[in-house]
Amino acid sequence: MASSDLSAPVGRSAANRRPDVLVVQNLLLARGYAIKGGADGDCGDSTIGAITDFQSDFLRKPDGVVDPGGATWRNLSASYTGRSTTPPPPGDDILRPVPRPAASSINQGLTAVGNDYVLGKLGEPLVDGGYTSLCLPPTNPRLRRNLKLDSVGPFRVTGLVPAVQSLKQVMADIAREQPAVYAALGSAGMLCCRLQRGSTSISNHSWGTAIDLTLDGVLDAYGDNKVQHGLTLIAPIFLRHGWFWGAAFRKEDGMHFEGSKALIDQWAAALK
Amino acid sequence: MGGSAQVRARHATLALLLATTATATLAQAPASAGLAGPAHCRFAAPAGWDTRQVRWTGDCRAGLAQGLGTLRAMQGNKVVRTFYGRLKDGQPVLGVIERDGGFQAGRFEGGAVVQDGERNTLIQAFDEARAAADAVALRHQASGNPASARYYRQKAAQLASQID
Repeated sequence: MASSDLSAPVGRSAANRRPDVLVVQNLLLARGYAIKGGADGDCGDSTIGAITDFQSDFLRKPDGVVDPGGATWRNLSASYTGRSTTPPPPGDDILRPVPRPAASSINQGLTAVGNDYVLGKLGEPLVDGGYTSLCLPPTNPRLRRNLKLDSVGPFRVTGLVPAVQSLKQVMADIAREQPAVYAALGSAGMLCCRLQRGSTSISNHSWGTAIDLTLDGVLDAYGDNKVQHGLTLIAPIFLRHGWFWGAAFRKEDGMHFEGSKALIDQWAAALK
Repeated sequence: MGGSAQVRARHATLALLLATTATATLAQAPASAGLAGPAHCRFAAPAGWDTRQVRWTGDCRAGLAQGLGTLRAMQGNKVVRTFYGRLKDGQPVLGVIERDGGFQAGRFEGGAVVQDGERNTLIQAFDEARAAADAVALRHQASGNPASARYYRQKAAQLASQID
């Protein structure tokens, strides 16, 4: 998301196309700029104010507009390390469990989506039902048309095309900013159409818009309110690309990242 | 040879036969070289474990650990790693290792987890691990240790919920 350009200007008296506004809002929120109501795709006074505040760091005369390819966009979309910690020193144990961050301190400006919302946007993965406890390939023709198996850097995944593309950008940033974590990264799966265990709800992996990560082949323990240290180092990178971190779920799921509502909206609009 | 002498001779022959059989069992030792645990129930610990302090809780067959259970790596009285899953002929085949930082899960070959990238393999590994924890809980319940039985039932529930 961050490295793609805008289709039209965003800000004061600008075109303010909704997908562009969402991108700008998420990037501003990731940098700690407040936007009343969070990322909603509407460019109101709060968003324009945040753009102006951001510009005041590098422009003599902030104008509250982000032009495609312009100075503000270049600054806004550049690799951002402000909320990432520095890479761990050599020998540091990136697997060590640390307390999960307070839910209010992560995923700022992002909204998690429930199954009903994704079903409405992307459709029923298995058109005739028949979900089991094991992963099955989707039968929904629209979903199948928009799936891709591809390398995202440290591993290969099968997922929704725009989600896989976004993951590539996330991984490129992780490689640059957190190389030790990047070297340890693996996948515990992205697309998996199945029932959640002990439930009639389907898994949030059923559309290829979520991923579970491993570090050195180790899955973070679910629901223990601790997360692997390495995950805390890369979570800010996921967040600024609009991915919601499962560490903030009611029951902690530190290894899980999924497309936020803003990304699901964008991805759904981009499907063939 | 008198009757009693014949009986003694038969007993001697039987003893020799038993000794030969016992020797044959011991002669199988090379096939189980590198295995840990007591002679009546040998097993291979997962790769990298200090085999001097590993305990198997589960069934045994023909001198080898077999079926669902746990392998626990101890440091003194502290459990530092636990394998939950299935052993076949003393070898881990499918399950989960609990360690500091989380879980390693999957099929095992030569004591090491095979990373095949398949989410279904992980689901099956955690299913097997849950079943192993339940089996160990039943053992503890049957032996009058309700506290340990409760611990393993809770562990089973945690393992069951790991992959959504």
